[in-house]
Amino acid sequence: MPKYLLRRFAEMLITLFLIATATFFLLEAVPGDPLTERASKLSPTVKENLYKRYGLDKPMMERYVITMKGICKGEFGESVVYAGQTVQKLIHDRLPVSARLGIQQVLVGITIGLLLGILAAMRRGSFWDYMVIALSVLLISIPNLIFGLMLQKIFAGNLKVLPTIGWPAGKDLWFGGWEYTILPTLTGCFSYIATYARLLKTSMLDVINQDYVLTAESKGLSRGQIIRRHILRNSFIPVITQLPMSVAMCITGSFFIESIFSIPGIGQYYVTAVNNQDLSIIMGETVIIAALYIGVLFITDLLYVVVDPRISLTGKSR
Amino acid sequence: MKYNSPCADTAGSAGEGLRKKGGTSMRKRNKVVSLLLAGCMAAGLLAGCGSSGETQVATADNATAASTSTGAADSAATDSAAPETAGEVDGQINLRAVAFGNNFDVQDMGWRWMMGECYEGLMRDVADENGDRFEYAGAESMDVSDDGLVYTFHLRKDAKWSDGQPVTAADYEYGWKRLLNPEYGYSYSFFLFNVVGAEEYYNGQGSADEIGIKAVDDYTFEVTLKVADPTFQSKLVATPLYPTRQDVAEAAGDQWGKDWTKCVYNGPFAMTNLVEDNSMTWVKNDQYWDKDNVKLNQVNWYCVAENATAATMFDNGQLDVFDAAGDYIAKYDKEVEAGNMQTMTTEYPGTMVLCYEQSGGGKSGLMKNVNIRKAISYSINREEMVSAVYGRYTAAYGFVSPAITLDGTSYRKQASETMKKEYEQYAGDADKLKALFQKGLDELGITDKPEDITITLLSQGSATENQLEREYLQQSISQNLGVKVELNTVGDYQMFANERDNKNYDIFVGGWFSDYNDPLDFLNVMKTGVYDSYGLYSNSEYDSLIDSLTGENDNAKRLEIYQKLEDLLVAQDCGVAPLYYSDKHYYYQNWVKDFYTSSFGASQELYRASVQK
Repeated sequence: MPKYLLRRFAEMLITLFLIATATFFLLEAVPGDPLTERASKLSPTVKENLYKRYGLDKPMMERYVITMKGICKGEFGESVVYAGQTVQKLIHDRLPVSARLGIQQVLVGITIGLLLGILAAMRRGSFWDYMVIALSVLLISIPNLIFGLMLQKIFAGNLKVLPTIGWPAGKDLWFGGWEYTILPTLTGCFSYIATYARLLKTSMLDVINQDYVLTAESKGLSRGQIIRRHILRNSFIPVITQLPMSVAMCITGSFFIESIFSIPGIGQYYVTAVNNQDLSIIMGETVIIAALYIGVLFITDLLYVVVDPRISLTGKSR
Repeated sequence: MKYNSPCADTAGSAGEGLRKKGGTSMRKRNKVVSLLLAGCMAAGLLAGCGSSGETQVATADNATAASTSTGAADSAATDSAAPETAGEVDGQINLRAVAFGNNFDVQDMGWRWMMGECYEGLMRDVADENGDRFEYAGAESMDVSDDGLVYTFHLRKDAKWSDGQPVTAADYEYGWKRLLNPEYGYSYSFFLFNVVGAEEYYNGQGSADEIGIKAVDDYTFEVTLKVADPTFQSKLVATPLYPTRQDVAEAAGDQWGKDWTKCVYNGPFAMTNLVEDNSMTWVKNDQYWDKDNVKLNQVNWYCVAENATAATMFDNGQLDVFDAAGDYIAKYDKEVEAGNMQTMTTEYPGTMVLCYEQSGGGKSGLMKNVNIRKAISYSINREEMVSAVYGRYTAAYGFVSPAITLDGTSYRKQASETMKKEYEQYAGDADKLKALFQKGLDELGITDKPEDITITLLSQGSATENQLEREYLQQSISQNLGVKVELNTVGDYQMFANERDNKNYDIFVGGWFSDYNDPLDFLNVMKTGVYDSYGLYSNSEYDSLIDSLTGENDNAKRLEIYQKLEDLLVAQDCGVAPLYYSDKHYYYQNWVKDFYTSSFGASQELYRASVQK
């Protein structure tokens, strides 16, 4: 097992290195640089100073080496567009905010989604089944920008029961200021509800038709026992496969929600950085999201083993 | 300030990618997993982030709390670090910004809507429906030598920084010389190039001591120009010419202008809290020399990107002022009629124009011909366009905005829009327009029929207004001239600039927003080599006319030259086709009094505003 862990860890590092390299050269391939517009009015000497300050005067390969060395030390450099902004500062100030938003969305969304999925599968062909299907189609096809604005208009505008914008900070950063988080969480959790309800329903219907379920039925097990011990556990593999994506994306993927509710999170800044060709910030955020994703993926693989003794990560069959 | 195309809404497509949550690579392994796992994983992540998240958000500790007046318990605003932001303070105004920058360096002009209120220069520019007025602010009076070369400013002795230190001539000297320092590369250094020794220093050929910028004593500030220049005075309201405290800037070092907590302020308000992308608080600066006339105690800014959200907040009274656009204009105009709110429209020194690719003739190869350009220009009905597409603005037949004044009177009142005469002969007459276009084709020796010709319109922006704009132009031109107009619509500004610089277009809509109050700031844009982003108009007669303004101190003569320049650019050469003059259009609650704007300073002027609920 330790050997396996070591190998996986090395693989993760190589993956990260490749992602960082690809990101760097993709960004290089985009025409222009973040200073073009700003430097257009400047005299040659001053332009030179400006490019020197951000290290953009050096040849590409040299910058590549500098960037990679920086990443190894955890330094991504200063934003070219917003003076004083660094990836470290972004993670320090903004990641917790996005993390809370993402976690609340995932917890609420997946819980409701799974419950609805079970309901739909168990009451197949009933009114509830059709309701769940209709609901998930509706929820997944309406962009969350529209949902956000709608909820805002109803609950903050007309009913005036919840704040329009804002996000808890300071000591309330993690546990507090709940009323500010209700609308953004709701807005974001809809797509999780839709995804997981459909996923679990499909998967459960697969399992219901398996022989072992028939066996369990003929053994005379109660309906509840069959669902819990045989159907549900076996239907969870696709859900587990989907989870890392949701968890990694939930933290950085709330761009519109952060924007609508004025939430000072990291998702907003990522998109701004891409639009501005803000090299250091894009590099930093990409590497961090990739690391997060790879990390979660790794944990998922470990979980497979923990829950299913038949699975062997090292390849040896027991 | 260059403005080539609407920069809004470019985030949409990138955001879509990030929002994608569903994964497709489903590994079909038959494994058993318990329901608890979902919870475990999420909890594990929570714990992981928790450890990296604690002790953070130091700057935000007095609560992001976009505290609302909806009665929702404001529990988030309890551990306030800044006492003045806690609880109800009389005289608060709530405003909205689409985005916050993060730049407190006045020389950079990056964030002038904030700088204009928290800092103060020699003069202040205030605008209402009657136009702009320029008032003394940090200076009490000004002497200009007879030859127009030496400006002596007498500073007010009661002006102070927010830390109680007096604002002295040395602060101006430091700020102005800082602006010229080649190490910093400020975009607006050229504002001072006419000062003795300034451009030399900027280009690394002279020293700072040789610059004709001098603090004679604590309250006398003297500037010596190379040649007399009446436009110099109009630059004094711009934030790059505001003072900077040497000790404070040097103490902040690299962080100068990046960290607001390291700044001192000499304006009517001082920043006390900022949470990026969320909210910002200014309180009345009790060291401000004119504090008795500042009626507001606190200004709360909210970063609200979506107009729909801002409208909800404005409807609820959570915002006091709303800078409406698009459909909201019609909605709020009705409210104004019903007496539920107030509105103010002020001229704003920006003109949007149709640019033609004149260096190579564009994708079609036709744009070098003046009659072709004119035919395209005259096929656009400006009046209809401003009402149908934007629902605001004023149709333009000249390049210089009506907001620009010369000798205190709007330039547009002194110089007629000479293009209008010819435009009116063609307007709405498709046969005449086709004939004009054909004339151009004949001159170029092109035998293609108009229906076989394609003109490419480059544009970007996905807002309704942007879409309406390009469709309106497309239809107007193709219907009147019988040509095909192809839309080349790109996703964001970088791509737009790239297509433009590669000359992958015939026409696009660009604009110029003036930096200082003089027609020269508009007309100089079209001089050969000044900008390459307006279709590369070039005319040696035009260039030498611009040069002839150097040292010309007589405003009557300058007016004459300005008129000639504009006539040449717009009427004779059709180097650009003016579309509309920009404006500022605010709606505000009935309880807001004396709210002003500013064309060249801050975007809003709050130093006299009050809230009387």
